[in-house]
Amino acid sequence: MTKEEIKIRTRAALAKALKMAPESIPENASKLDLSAWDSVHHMNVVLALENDFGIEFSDAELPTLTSMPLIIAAIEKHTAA
Amino acid sequence: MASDLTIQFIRNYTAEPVGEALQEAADRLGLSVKTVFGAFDNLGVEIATLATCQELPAVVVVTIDLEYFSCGIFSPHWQLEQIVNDFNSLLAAIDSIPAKSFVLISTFLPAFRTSMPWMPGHPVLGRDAAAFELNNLLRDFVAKRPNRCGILDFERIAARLGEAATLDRRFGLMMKAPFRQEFIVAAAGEIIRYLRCRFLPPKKVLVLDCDNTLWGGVVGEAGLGNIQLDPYEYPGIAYYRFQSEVLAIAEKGFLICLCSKNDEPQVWQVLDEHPHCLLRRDKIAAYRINWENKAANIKELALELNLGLDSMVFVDDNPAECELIRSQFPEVTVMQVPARIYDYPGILAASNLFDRFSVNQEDKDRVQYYQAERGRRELQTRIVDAEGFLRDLKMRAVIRPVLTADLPRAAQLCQRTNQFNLTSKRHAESDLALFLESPDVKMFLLQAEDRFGSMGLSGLIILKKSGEVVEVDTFLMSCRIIGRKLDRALFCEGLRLLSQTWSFHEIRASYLPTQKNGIVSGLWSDYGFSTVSSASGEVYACLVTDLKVSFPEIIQLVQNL
Repeated sequence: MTKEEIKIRTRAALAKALKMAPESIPENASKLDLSAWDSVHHMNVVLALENDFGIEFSDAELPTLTSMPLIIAAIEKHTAA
Repeated sequence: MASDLTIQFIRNYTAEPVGEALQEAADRLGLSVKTVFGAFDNLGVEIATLATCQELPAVVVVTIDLEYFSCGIFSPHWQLEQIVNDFNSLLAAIDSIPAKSFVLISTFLPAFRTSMPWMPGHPVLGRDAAAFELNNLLRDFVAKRPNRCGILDFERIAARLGEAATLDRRFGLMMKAPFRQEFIVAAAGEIIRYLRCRFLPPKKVLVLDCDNTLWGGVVGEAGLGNIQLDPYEYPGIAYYRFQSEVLAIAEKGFLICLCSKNDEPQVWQVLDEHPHCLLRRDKIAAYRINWENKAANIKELALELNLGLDSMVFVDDNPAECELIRSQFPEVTVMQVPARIYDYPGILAASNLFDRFSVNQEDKDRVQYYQAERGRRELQTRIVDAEGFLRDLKMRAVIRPVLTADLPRAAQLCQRTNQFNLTSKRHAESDLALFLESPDVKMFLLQAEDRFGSMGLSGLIILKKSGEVVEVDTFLMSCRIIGRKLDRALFCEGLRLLSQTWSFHEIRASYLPTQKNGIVSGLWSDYGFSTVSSASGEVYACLVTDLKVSFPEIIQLVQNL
């Protein structure tokens, strides 16, 4: 899977979980910038990503998934393996 | 129709996902819902605040995770007695929430696994004991408060979905969000069932095909003895169980109709003579058994019953017939008999379309009213002159104040009546109970019969006093008695009874148009009222001395029926 594909699918998953339009989520979007991305919706984000990519984040990864670039990096690790 | 129903969650865990799923499900039904979440794990204070709240939510959902309730079941200090005491205090607090808010309380989940040894006399420990005790207390509490409280049966949802689809161990421990999405959606669905009953127009009619729907096979070809309908043998048992479900629905006051392409005598032969046919002729409110187009037949049934197509549910095994009705009448709910016939029993219950808050005598007798109506129609076709027809009906009516025992039926009339309803105010039983206590509100019911039979408690007028003026808050007549001048009887006698206790010189009334109540748009003018404003709906006024409505002489007023 290319980085670009991961990026597109991550944005789509974020959009679905946060009920936002994909185009309104910038490339470097983070929990701090998006008001919809609160701790309750963070669960939706995690579940949406895990479902879409067929992966499961580890306990150690979960607290780090706080922005698009960090999420993409974590997914790359899972999909590269 | 209803706008912005507020639903407040009082919880000790992260229940926001349930709120979100509820919002989505409500949107799909066209209900505008606003969910509100109080402070986390602040049950007592949140409930106490509601007792003095100015703007009460329509629904309060109280949902508690046993793991964190009271001393918490994982604490070394855990004590069943303590939990029970704390829960009883909570129920007492819930009791102080004003009746205007309906309270839904979720049941507690027992453990998915028991700890061995599990044998008679073994002390019941831990979560199971608490869930068992608290659920019993809860069921008892709710049973004593019909129309005020309801159960949100999480225990049943968990049993249906199983552990894997119910519990989210990860987010349960990390975020106090214990439920999986599947469970969350089902829980929201249960709240929706309540909202649907209370705030959406109900389904009233179940229209059934016959061959391969009420029984297996085609009676016209196989003959009475060879159709599949049997209490023991598959596949006949599937149809037998379905019929049993239909009977249960009829008991709740739904009208059962047949719409079948068949020769009429053969269908009646099954209903009258088949030893295992549960649905007998006396349960059928109306029917079209012929070789005509089913869409035309369904439309005729709606006209005959004087009910909207949107109140109908249609069941047929033939995909073409189902598609025809779906395309011609999108407002009719269409259900197709499943291909795997063992999936057939239970489909009506699973649809949640036949939920009812409560069932009263009117519901049980409803089919008889419609059967009597058929007799009246036959008379009407013989007597051309309308006044002569009404006179020949020999109508008798009781008009009397609403009593406490009438409240369920009065509330039902407010909820169900769409056509002859001037204001369409959907008062709940709790609203009417408050009216009953108010010195400034009077409510009168009409009960009528004619020579074809009883028409039941089928008219309601609610009058409010404001100084020397009386305002008509609600005026409605059940659709089965429209056009009989019984409205005039109720209005005139209601005012006469009113004048015994109140003095008033003017009456104000309004007509709030809906898609269905055009039939009464001119009623107030006919009664002699004049328009005073039309800013919010149409408001009318009339001096008592100017009224142009009198008690119809074709109706005999009596004390008892």
